[in-house]
Amino acid sequence: MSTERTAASHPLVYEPPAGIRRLEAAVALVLRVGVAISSALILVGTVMTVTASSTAREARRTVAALRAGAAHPAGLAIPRTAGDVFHGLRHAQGPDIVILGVVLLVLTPIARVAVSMFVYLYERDATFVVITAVVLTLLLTSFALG
Amino acid sequence: MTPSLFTLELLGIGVVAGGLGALLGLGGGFIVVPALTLLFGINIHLAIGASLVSVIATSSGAAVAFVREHMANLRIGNFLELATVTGAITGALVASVLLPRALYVIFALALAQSAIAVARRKPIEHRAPPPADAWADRLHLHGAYPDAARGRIVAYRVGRSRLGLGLMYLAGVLSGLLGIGSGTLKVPAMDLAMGLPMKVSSATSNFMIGVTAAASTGVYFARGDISSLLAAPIALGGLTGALIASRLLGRVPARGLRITFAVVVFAIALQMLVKGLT
Repeated sequence: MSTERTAASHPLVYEPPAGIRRLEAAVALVLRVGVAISSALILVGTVMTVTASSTAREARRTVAALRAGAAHPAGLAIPRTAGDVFHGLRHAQGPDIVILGVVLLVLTPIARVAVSMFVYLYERDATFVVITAVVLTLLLTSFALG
Repeated sequence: MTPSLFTLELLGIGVVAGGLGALLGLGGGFIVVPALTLLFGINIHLAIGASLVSVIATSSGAAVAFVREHMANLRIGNFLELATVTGAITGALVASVLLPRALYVIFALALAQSAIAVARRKPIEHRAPPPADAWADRLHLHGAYPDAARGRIVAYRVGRSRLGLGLMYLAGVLSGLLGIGSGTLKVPAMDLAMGLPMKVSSATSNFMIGVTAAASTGVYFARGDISSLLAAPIALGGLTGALIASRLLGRVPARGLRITFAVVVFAIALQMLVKGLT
């Protein structure tokens, strides 16, 4: 078999078909960028929240409510609608930046489905364009429910 | 308790969950939800919301490596996501009408299943290929991956894709209901039912977990169950843990790890059951 190799000492090189390679490259890029940006925002926002005295005081109250087992703590950094996210952005305090980071993190896998759909479109793979379009629609519907 | 100390504790939980999760090919939700509810007394709906976010972080972080190393089968992932995403939305909607008590009991049962599944997991080196499957042929689901341990490229064929789809729906329901990645259901669905190699199953499961969790997150956001104060540090810790674990992966004795996992998870399952029934 031409693909058989006995290369134990040097790393195994595997070149998938061009279509798969393009898909993998696009998906890996989206995931890496999404995770990097969102974790940086979360880190900066968290540090700002606990160091600024006004937000730290508020965070202390929220933490106390959370640890008391409150079902719906009156809340710091609990966004419910897209409006909450945009509203927070104008203030750009620690908790608002954390929220933005969390939202971008959740959007990362959704973005990789969208990008996969475009790669399949480029490959003229109609079946998988439809499959990824349905998945994307379901994902967006789940967010539109709120 | 000061917010910064609480944040550090959450970060620690994330590191443990993300690290163990990555070592076992799971999302880590099996640690986050019990830790938040049993150790910190946090409401289970909020604990599940935070867990979903951290599961997305660890899965997305680990998936980058799996995808670049050609371990995950993206076509199979995209196809099965039809089922996991539908299931996840179902699960999230059902969770919103269930009492915390019921969630604790279901969580305990899911954990017990995970413990048993991981304890019994063993690589199957030689086995019959799965039966011919017209769907798998038409969708070009068959693939190949580089197996470093065996030093060669391994080609594999895929079968029973419809059974896989059904099992993935169930995995999605559990994920949306409990805030876990449900990798212990996803992996056997591909490994045992569809005939994928174990390593491809784990990598593809990890790849799908992020999208599955994101599907139910929309519902949790709308209900106000995603507290960024809880979710953010756990997600950061989870990413860190997953990164550390991915470097340790080859060096940790797999069998000892599996047995330890099974024992720990069984103990957590009992505690969750007690909490649900008393």
